[in-house]
Amino acid sequence: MLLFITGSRDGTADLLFDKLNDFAFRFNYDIFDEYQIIIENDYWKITNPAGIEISSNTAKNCFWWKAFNFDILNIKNMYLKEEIKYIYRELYSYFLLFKSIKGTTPYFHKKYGKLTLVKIAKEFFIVPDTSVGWGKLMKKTILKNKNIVAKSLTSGLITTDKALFTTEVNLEKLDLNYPWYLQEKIEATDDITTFICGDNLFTFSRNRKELVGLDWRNQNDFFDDDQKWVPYELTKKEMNSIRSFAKKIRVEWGRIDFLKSNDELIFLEYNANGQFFFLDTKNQYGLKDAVVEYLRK
Amino acid sequence: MFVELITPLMIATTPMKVEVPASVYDHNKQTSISTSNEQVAQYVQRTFSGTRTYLPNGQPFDSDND
Repeated sequence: MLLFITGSRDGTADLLFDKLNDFAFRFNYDIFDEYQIIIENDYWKITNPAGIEISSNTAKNCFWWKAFNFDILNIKNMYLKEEIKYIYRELYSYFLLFKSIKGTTPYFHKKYGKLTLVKIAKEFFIVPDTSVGWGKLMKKTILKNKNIVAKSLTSGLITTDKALFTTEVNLEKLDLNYPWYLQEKIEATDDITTFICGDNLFTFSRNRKELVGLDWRNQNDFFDDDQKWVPYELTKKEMNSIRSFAKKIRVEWGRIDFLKSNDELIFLEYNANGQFFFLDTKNQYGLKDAVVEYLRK
Repeated sequence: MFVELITPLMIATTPMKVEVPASVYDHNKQTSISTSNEQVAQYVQRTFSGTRTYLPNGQPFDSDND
Protein backbone atom coordinates (compact mmCIF):
# COMPACT_ATOMS: atom_id res chain seq x y z
CA MET A 1 0.00 0.00 0.00
CA LEU A 2 1.11 3.56 -0.72
CA LEU A 3 1.04 6.31 1.91
CA PHE A 4 0.17 9.50 0.00
CA ILE A 5 0.93 12.62 2.02
CA THR A 6 -0.71 15.80 0.75
CA GLY A 7 -3.42 18.35 1.53
CA SER A 8 -7.17 17.77 1.32
CA ARG A 9 -7.64 20.58 -1.25
CA ASP A 10 -4.98 19.37 -3.64
CA GLY A 11 -6.51 18.97 -7.10
CA THR A 12 -3.73 16.76 -8.42
CA ALA A 13 -4.23 14.28 -5.61
CA ASP A 14 -7.98 14.34 -6.30
CA LEU A 15 -7.41 13.48 -9.94
CA LEU A 16 -5.05 10.65 -9.11
CA PHE A 17 -7.22 9.07 -6.47
CA ASP A 18 -9.89 7.83 -8.84
CA LYS A 19 -7.21 5.32 -9.86
CA LEU A 20 -5.39 4.99 -6.54
CA ASN A 21 -8.17 4.67 -4.02
CA ASP A 22 -7.91 0.88 -3.77
CA PHE A 23 -4.19 1.06 -3.31
CA ALA A 24 -3.25 4.24 -1.47
CA PHE A 25 -3.98 5.89 1.83
CA ARG A 26 -4.28 9.68 1.55
CA PHE A 27 -3.02 11.41 4.67
CA ASN A 28 -3.88 15.11 4.41
CA TYR A 29 -1.86 17.27 6.73
CA ASP A 30 -4.35 20.13 6.79
CA ILE A 31 -7.06 17.89 8.30
CA PHE A 32 -4.75 15.78 10.46
CA ASP A 33 -7.27 15.85 13.32
CA GLU A 34 -9.76 13.78 11.30
CA TYR A 35 -7.40 10.79 11.35
CA GLN A 36 -6.28 8.56 14.17
CA ILE A 37 -2.65 7.59 14.39
CA ILE A 38 -0.36 5.60 16.62
CA ILE A 39 3.39 5.22 16.19
CA GLU A 40 5.36 2.86 18.41
CA ASN A 41 8.86 1.44 18.31
CA ASP A 42 8.03 -1.44 16.01
CA TYR A 43 4.62 -0.58 14.63
CA TRP A 44 2.50 2.30 13.36
CA LYS A 45 -1.04 2.62 12.09
CA ILE A 46 -3.27 5.38 10.68
CA THR A 47 -7.02 5.16 10.13
CA ASN A 48 -9.40 7.60 8.48
CA PRO A 49 -13.05 8.20 9.47
CA ALA A 50 -14.27 5.89 6.67
CA GLY A 51 -12.35 2.97 8.13
CA ILE A 52 -9.57 2.91 5.53
CA GLU A 53 -6.29 2.12 7.22
CA ILE A 54 -2.60 1.75 6.62
CA SER A 55 0.05 0.36 8.92
CA SER A 56 3.70 -0.57 9.01
CA ASN A 57 2.54 -4.06 8.04
CA THR A 58 0.71 -2.99 4.87
CA ALA A 59 2.69 0.05 3.76
CA LYS A 60 5.31 -0.34 1.04
CA ASN A 61 5.97 3.15 -0.29
CA CYS A 62 5.40 6.78 0.56
CA PHE A 63 4.78 9.67 -1.83
CA TRP A 64 4.85 13.21 -0.47
CA TRP A 65 3.03 15.42 -2.93
CA LYS A 66 3.25 19.18 -2.88
CA ALA A 67 6.27 18.67 -0.82
CA PHE A 68 6.94 22.09 0.55
CA ASN A 69 3.58 23.24 1.67
CA PHE A 70 3.27 22.82 5.40
CA ASP A 71 1.91 26.36 5.45
CA ILE A 72 -1.60 25.10 4.79
CA LEU A 73 -1.56 23.60 8.29
CA ASN A 74 -4.00 26.15 9.63
CA ILE A 75 -3.05 25.86 13.28
CA LYS A 76 -2.49 28.96 15.37
CA ASN A 77 -0.89 27.06 18.23
CA MET A 78 2.79 26.95 17.21
CA TYR A 79 3.61 24.09 19.57
CA LEU A 80 0.88 21.91 18.11
CA LYS A 81 1.89 22.83 14.56
CA GLU A 82 5.52 21.89 15.12
CA GLU A 83 4.58 18.61 16.81
CA ILE A 84 2.32 17.63 13.90
CA LYS A 85 5.00 18.51 11.34
CA TYR A 86 7.47 16.42 13.30
CA ILE A 87 5.20 13.39 13.19
CA TYR A 88 4.73 13.66 9.42
CA ARG A 89 8.49 13.91 8.96
CA GLU A 90 9.07 10.92 11.21
CA LEU A 91 6.64 8.84 9.18
CA TYR A 92 8.41 9.87 6.01
CA SER A 93 11.80 9.02 7.52
CA TYR A 94 10.49 5.56 8.32
CA PHE A 95 9.95 4.97 4.60
CA LEU A 96 13.33 6.42 3.71
CA LEU A 97 15.06 4.04 6.09
CA PHE A 98 12.94 0.91 6.17
CA LYS A 99 10.73 0.91 3.04
CA SER A 100 10.95 3.12 -0.03
CA ILE A 101 9.77 6.46 -1.30
CA LYS A 102 8.26 7.59 -4.56
CA GLY A 103 8.90 11.02 -6.03
CA THR A 104 11.39 13.34 -4.40
CA THR A 105 11.95 14.17 -0.77
CA PRO A 106 10.17 17.21 0.72
CA TYR A 107 13.52 18.81 1.46
CA PHE A 108 15.19 18.14 -1.89
CA HIS A 109 15.69 21.83 -2.70
CA LYS A 110 17.28 22.47 0.68
CA LYS A 111 20.12 20.24 -0.46
CA TYR A 112 20.07 21.15 -4.13
CA GLY A 113 19.12 24.80 -4.57
CA LYS A 114 18.73 26.56 -7.92
CA LEU A 115 22.36 27.67 -8.08
CA THR A 116 23.73 24.23 -7.28
CA LEU A 117 21.46 22.67 -9.88
CA VAL A 118 22.54 25.11 -12.58
CA LYS A 119 26.16 24.30 -11.74
CA ILE A 120 25.46 20.57 -12.10
CA ALA A 121 23.36 21.09 -15.23
CA LYS A 122 26.26 22.87 -16.91
CA GLU A 123 27.85 19.46 -17.39
CA PHE A 124 24.95 18.36 -19.60
CA PHE A 125 23.27 21.46 -21.03
CA ILE A 126 23.84 25.04 -22.03
CA VAL A 127 22.96 27.16 -18.99
CA PRO A 128 22.39 30.91 -18.77
CA ASP A 129 25.00 33.05 -17.02
CA THR A 130 23.73 33.55 -13.51
CA SER A 131 24.62 35.97 -10.76
CA VAL A 132 23.23 36.14 -7.23
CA GLY A 133 24.07 38.60 -4.49
CA TRP A 134 23.76 42.07 -3.11
CA GLY A 135 25.96 45.07 -2.50
CA LYS A 136 28.61 46.72 -4.66
CA LEU A 137 30.16 43.41 -5.74
CA MET A 138 27.09 42.85 -7.89
CA LYS A 139 28.07 45.85 -10.03
CA LYS A 140 30.95 43.74 -11.34
CA THR A 141 28.73 40.83 -12.31
CA ILE A 142 29.48 38.90 -15.50
CA LEU A 143 26.01 40.03 -16.60
CA LYS A 144 26.80 43.73 -16.57
CA ASN A 145 26.83 44.19 -20.33
CA LYS A 146 24.00 41.79 -21.06
CA ASN A 147 20.24 41.95 -21.14
CA ILE A 148 19.17 40.44 -17.84
CA VAL A 149 16.15 39.12 -16.02
CA ALA A 150 15.39 39.05 -12.31
CA LYS A 151 13.93 35.91 -10.80
CA SER A 152 13.08 34.61 -7.37
CA LEU A 153 15.14 31.91 -5.68
CA THR A 154 12.32 30.86 -3.39
CA SER A 155 9.27 31.71 -5.51
CA GLY A 156 7.88 32.90 -2.21
CA LEU A 157 5.23 35.56 -1.93
CA ILE A 158 6.80 38.99 -1.46
CA THR A 159 3.76 40.39 0.24
CA THR A 160 0.54 38.60 1.03
CA ASP A 161 -0.50 38.53 -2.59
CA LYS A 162 2.49 39.28 -4.81
CA ALA A 163 5.31 37.21 -6.23
CA LEU A 164 8.32 37.94 -8.40
CA PHE A 165 8.02 36.25 -11.77
CA THR A 166 10.80 36.42 -14.35
CA THR A 167 11.09 40.09 -15.27
CA GLU A 168 13.55 41.95 -17.48
CA VAL A 169 15.50 44.51 -15.48
CA ASN A 170 18.30 47.03 -15.92
CA LEU A 171 21.25 46.36 -13.62
CA GLU A 172 21.97 50.08 -13.27
CA LYS A 173 18.52 50.67 -11.85
CA LEU A 174 18.45 47.88 -9.26
CA ASP A 175 18.61 48.66 -5.57
CA LEU A 176 21.56 46.45 -4.67
CA ASN A 177 20.75 46.60 -0.97
CA TYR A 178 18.36 43.77 -1.80
CA PRO A 179 19.46 40.27 -2.77
CA TRP A 180 18.99 39.66 -6.50
CA TYR A 181 18.91 36.48 -8.55
CA LEU A 182 19.84 37.58 -12.05
CA GLN A 183 20.27 35.67 -15.27
CA GLU A 184 21.10 36.63 -18.82
CA LYS A 185 17.95 37.05 -20.86
CA ILE A 186 17.57 34.29 -23.43
CA GLU A 187 15.80 35.12 -26.65
CA ALA A 188 13.78 31.96 -27.06
CA THR A 189 11.08 30.70 -29.37
CA ASP A 190 9.62 28.09 -27.05
CA ASP A 191 9.40 26.96 -23.46
CA ILE A 192 10.25 23.29 -23.17
CA THR A 193 9.53 21.21 -20.12
CA THR A 194 10.32 17.57 -19.40
CA PHE A 195 8.40 15.64 -16.78
CA ILE A 196 10.44 12.77 -15.38
CA CYS A 197 8.30 9.90 -14.09
CA GLY A 198 10.29 6.78 -13.31
CA ASP A 199 11.82 5.61 -16.59
CA ASN A 200 9.54 7.85 -18.66
CA LEU A 201 10.33 11.29 -20.00
CA PHE A 202 7.37 13.37 -21.15
CA THR A 203 8.45 16.51 -22.96
CA PHE A 204 6.21 19.37 -24.06
CA SER A 205 6.75 22.72 -25.71
CA ARG A 206 4.85 25.95 -25.56
CA ASN A 207 5.31 28.67 -28.12
CA ARG A 208 6.30 31.99 -26.58
CA LYS A 209 4.77 34.11 -29.32
CA GLU A 210 1.60 34.83 -27.38
CA LEU A 211 3.26 35.03 -24.01
CA VAL A 212 2.45 38.14 -22.00
CA GLY A 213 5.64 38.99 -20.12
CA LEU A 214 8.44 36.44 -19.87
CA ASP A 215 7.08 33.80 -17.52
CA TRP A 216 4.47 31.20 -18.55
CA ARG A 217 3.71 30.60 -14.89
CA ASN A 218 1.94 33.90 -14.65
CA GLN A 219 -0.27 33.49 -17.71
CA ASN A 220 -3.95 33.59 -17.06
CA ASP A 221 -4.73 30.50 -19.10
CA PHE A 222 -4.10 27.52 -16.84
CA PHE A 223 -7.68 26.45 -17.14
CA ASP A 224 -8.36 27.18 -20.80
CA ASP A 225 -9.69 24.31 -22.87
CA ASP A 226 -7.08 25.14 -25.46
CA GLN A 227 -4.01 22.93 -25.04
CA LYS A 228 -1.10 25.39 -24.79
CA TRP A 229 1.54 22.69 -24.31
CA VAL A 230 2.13 20.20 -27.12
CA PRO A 231 4.34 17.11 -27.15
CA TYR A 232 7.93 17.79 -28.13
CA GLU A 233 10.30 15.21 -29.52
CA LEU A 234 13.69 15.22 -27.86
CA THR A 235 16.80 14.26 -29.79
CA LYS A 236 18.68 11.23 -28.57
CA LYS A 237 21.41 13.52 -27.26
CA GLU A 238 18.92 15.66 -25.34
CA MET A 239 17.32 12.55 -23.90
CA ASN A 240 20.69 11.23 -22.77
CA SER A 241 21.57 14.58 -21.21
CA ILE A 242 18.31 14.64 -19.24
CA ARG A 243 18.78 11.07 -18.03
CA SER A 244 22.40 11.78 -17.07
CA PHE A 245 21.41 14.91 -15.19
CA ALA A 246 18.64 13.04 -13.33
CA LYS A 247 21.07 10.27 -12.47
CA LYS A 248 23.63 12.76 -11.20
CA ILE A 249 21.15 14.38 -8.81
CA ARG A 250 19.63 10.94 -8.04
CA VAL A 251 16.03 11.59 -9.00
CA GLU A 252 13.43 9.65 -10.93
CA TRP A 253 10.73 12.29 -10.59
CA GLY A 254 10.38 16.01 -11.23
CA ARG A 255 10.26 18.50 -14.04
CA ILE A 256 13.03 20.29 -15.88
CA ASP A 257 12.32 23.62 -17.53
CA PHE A 258 14.23 24.73 -20.60
CA LEU A 259 14.11 27.47 -23.17
CA LYS A 260 14.60 26.64 -26.82
CA SER A 261 16.91 29.05 -28.54
CA ASN A 262 18.57 28.51 -31.93
CA ASP A 263 17.49 24.86 -31.80
CA GLU A 264 19.34 24.33 -28.52
CA LEU A 265 17.82 23.56 -25.13
CA ILE A 266 18.89 26.04 -22.46
CA PHE A 267 18.51 24.64 -18.95
CA LEU A 268 16.56 26.88 -16.59
CA GLU A 269 15.67 24.86 -13.53
CA TYR A 270 14.67 21.55 -12.04
CA ASN A 271 11.47 21.38 -9.98
CA ALA A 272 11.51 18.51 -7.50
CA ASN A 273 7.76 18.52 -6.94
CA GLY A 274 7.18 18.09 -10.65
CA GLN A 275 3.68 19.36 -11.28
CA PHE A 276 2.41 17.65 -14.44
CA PHE A 277 -1.37 17.84 -14.89
CA PHE A 278 -1.27 21.19 -16.68
CA LEU A 279 0.68 19.51 -19.51
CA ASP A 280 -2.05 16.99 -20.23
CA THR A 281 -5.29 18.42 -18.92
CA LYS A 282 -7.43 16.26 -21.21
CA ASN A 283 -5.50 13.08 -20.47
CA GLN A 284 -4.47 12.75 -24.12
CA TYR A 285 -0.85 11.85 -23.65
CA GLY A 286 -0.95 9.32 -20.86
CA LEU A 287 0.68 11.29 -18.08
CA LYS A 288 -1.90 10.31 -15.50
CA ASP A 289 -1.64 6.63 -16.40
CA ALA A 290 2.14 6.80 -16.23
CA VAL A 291 2.03 8.45 -12.80
CA VAL A 292 -0.48 5.90 -11.50
CA GLU A 293 1.65 3.07 -12.83
CA TYR A 294 4.78 4.57 -11.29
CA LEU A 295 3.08 4.96 -7.91
CA ARG A 296 1.67 1.45 -8.03
CA LYS A 297 4.94 -0.19 -9.00
CA MET B 1 18.18 64.07 -10.91
CA PHE B 2 17.13 61.54 -8.28
CA VAL B 3 16.26 58.15 -9.77
CA GLU B 4 14.31 55.74 -7.61
CA LEU B 5 16.05 52.36 -7.59
CA ILE B 6 14.06 49.22 -8.25
CA THR B 7 13.37 46.78 -5.42
CA PRO B 8 11.95 43.23 -5.79
CA LEU B 9 8.64 44.46 -4.40
CA MET B 10 8.32 47.06 -7.14
CA ILE B 11 8.44 44.46 -9.92
CA ALA B 12 6.37 41.81 -8.14
CA THR B 13 2.99 41.01 -9.59
CA THR B 14 -0.13 39.32 -8.32
CA PRO B 15 -0.25 35.65 -9.28
CA MET B 16 -3.31 34.28 -10.97
CA LYS B 17 -6.05 33.36 -8.56
CA VAL B 18 -8.93 30.98 -8.98
CA GLU B 19 -12.15 30.72 -7.11
CA VAL B 20 -12.13 27.34 -5.45
CA PRO B 21 -15.65 25.99 -5.03
CA ALA B 22 -16.86 25.10 -1.58
CA SER B 23 -16.11 21.47 -0.97
CA VAL B 24 -16.03 18.73 1.58
CA TYR B 25 -13.47 15.99 1.79
CA ASP B 26 -14.84 12.49 1.25
CA HIS B 27 -12.83 9.96 3.25
CA ASN B 28 -14.38 7.03 1.37
CA LYS B 29 -13.26 8.27 -2.04
CA GLN B 30 -10.28 10.13 -0.58
CA THR B 31 -11.03 13.13 -2.77
CA SER B 32 -12.64 16.54 -2.35
CA ILE B 33 -16.22 16.77 -3.49
CA SER B 34 -17.77 20.16 -4.14
CA THR B 35 -21.02 20.95 -2.43
CA SER B 36 -22.69 20.64 -5.85
CA ASN B 37 -21.50 17.01 -5.74
CA GLU B 38 -18.89 17.15 -8.50
CA GLN B 39 -15.28 16.26 -8.07
CA VAL B 40 -13.42 19.50 -7.37
CA ALA B 41 -10.63 18.76 -9.80
CA GLN B 42 -11.72 17.91 -13.33
CA TYR B 43 -9.67 17.31 -16.39
CA VAL B 44 -11.06 19.51 -19.06
CA GLN B 45 -12.25 22.65 -17.40
CA ARG B 46 -10.13 23.01 -14.36
CA THR B 47 -7.70 21.43 -12.00
CA PHE B 48 -8.27 23.51 -8.93
CA SER B 49 -5.08 23.69 -6.96
CA GLY B 50 -3.59 21.58 -9.70
CA THR B 51 -0.66 23.83 -10.27
CA ARG B 52 -0.58 25.80 -7.08
CA THR B 53 -2.06 25.62 -3.67
CA TYR B 54 -4.63 28.12 -2.57
CA LEU B 55 -6.49 29.06 0.51
CA PRO B 56 -10.22 28.36 0.25
CA ASN B 57 -10.73 31.98 -0.88
CA GLY B 58 -8.40 31.47 -3.82
CA GLN B 59 -5.41 33.31 -2.40
CA PRO B 60 -2.16 31.60 -3.33
CA PHE B 61 -0.49 30.34 -0.20
CA ASP B 62 2.52 28.64 -1.41
CA SER B 63 6.23 28.97 -1.92
CA ASP B 64 6.21 26.43 -4.67
CA ASN B 65 5.18 27.87 -7.99
CA ASP B 66 6.34 25.01 -10.10
